[in-house]
Amino acid sequence: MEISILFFTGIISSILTYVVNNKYRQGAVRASAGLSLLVGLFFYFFPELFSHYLTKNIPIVFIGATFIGMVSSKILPSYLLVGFSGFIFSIIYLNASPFFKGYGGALGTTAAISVLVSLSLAVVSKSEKIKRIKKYRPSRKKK
Amino acid sequence: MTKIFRRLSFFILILVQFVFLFAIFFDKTNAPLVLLFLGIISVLISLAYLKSPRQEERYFIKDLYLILFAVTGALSTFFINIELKFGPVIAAGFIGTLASFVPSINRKSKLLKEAPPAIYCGAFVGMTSASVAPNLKFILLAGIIAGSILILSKNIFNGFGGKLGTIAFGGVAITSAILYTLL
Repeated sequence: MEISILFFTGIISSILTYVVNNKYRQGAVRASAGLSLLVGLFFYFFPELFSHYLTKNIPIVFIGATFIGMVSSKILPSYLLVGFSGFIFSIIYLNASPFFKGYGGALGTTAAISVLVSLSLAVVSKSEKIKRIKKYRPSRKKK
Repeated sequence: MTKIFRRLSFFILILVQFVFLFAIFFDKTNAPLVLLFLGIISVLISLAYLKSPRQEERYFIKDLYLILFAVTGALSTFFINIELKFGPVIAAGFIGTLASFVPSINRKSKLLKEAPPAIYCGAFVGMTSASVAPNLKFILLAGIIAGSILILSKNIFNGFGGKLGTIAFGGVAITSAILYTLL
C-alpha cells in the first residue's frame, strides 16, 4: 500500500511539474523547485498526518520526480511518457543502491535515466522498422 | 575544441549514469527481476544516447560565472539543509525558487538568464547528507567540479530532465573519490 502511494507520487509529481513548466511557461527551475518547496513545507508542518515511512519518503520521491517534469516539451511531447518516466523513477528509487545514499544528485541521475528510457521508447515507436512491422500486420490478416 | 569538450562531457554524463546503474546491479545480484529490469533500461538508454540532440556553441570565458553560481547554490542549500536542519527537500526547493526569480532583476542580462539552472544544479550538490559531506569544504569542491561539468556539457542534453542532477551527482562522486584516495 505504502509503496503504491510512492508510485502514485512519482507519476503525479512528474506530470504536475511538466504542466507548470511547459503549459504555464514558468520555466523548469521554478516549476520543480516551487512545487517541491510546497510539498516539503507541507510535510515539515504536518509530520503526523501520514506514517513515518511516507512522511520521510514522499518529499524525496516528489522532488526527484519533479526533475523529470523539467524536460522540455520539444524533447518529450507526451504526458503519457512523462508519467511513465515517473513510474520508472519510483522503481529505480525503491531499488537504489545504499552505496550512494545521501549523495546529492542521486535523485537527479535516477530522473535522467528514467527520462532517457521514455525518450528511447518514443524513438523506437517512431522508427521505420517498427512502422513497417505495423503496416505489415494488417496486410497479412487480409490474406 | 568544442567537439572535444562536448565528447568529454558526454562521456562523463554517461559514465555517471552507468556507475549509478552498476551500483544497483551489484547490490541486487540475487534479484533476477531487478536485473532484467536493469538490462532492459540499459539497452533503452543506450538507444536514447544515440538519438540525443546536440548543439554547436562556443565556450566563453564568461561561462566561468556559472561555477560561481553553482558554488553559491551548493553552499546556501547545504547551510539550510544541515545547519538549519530543514532537510534537503525544503532547502533545495527554497534556493531553487529564489533562483528562478533571479532573471527578473534584469530581463536584458544574458548572464542572469543562465543563473537559475546553475544555482539549482548547485542546490542538488548541497542536498548531500552530512554523512557523505563532512564539512563545507567538501561542498565547495563538489560545487566547483559540478560547475565545471555544467560548462563543459552546455552543448548536450539541453532540456533533458535530470541533466542538472546527473552533473551534481558527478561533482559529489568525483569529490568523494578524490578525498577517499587522498585521505
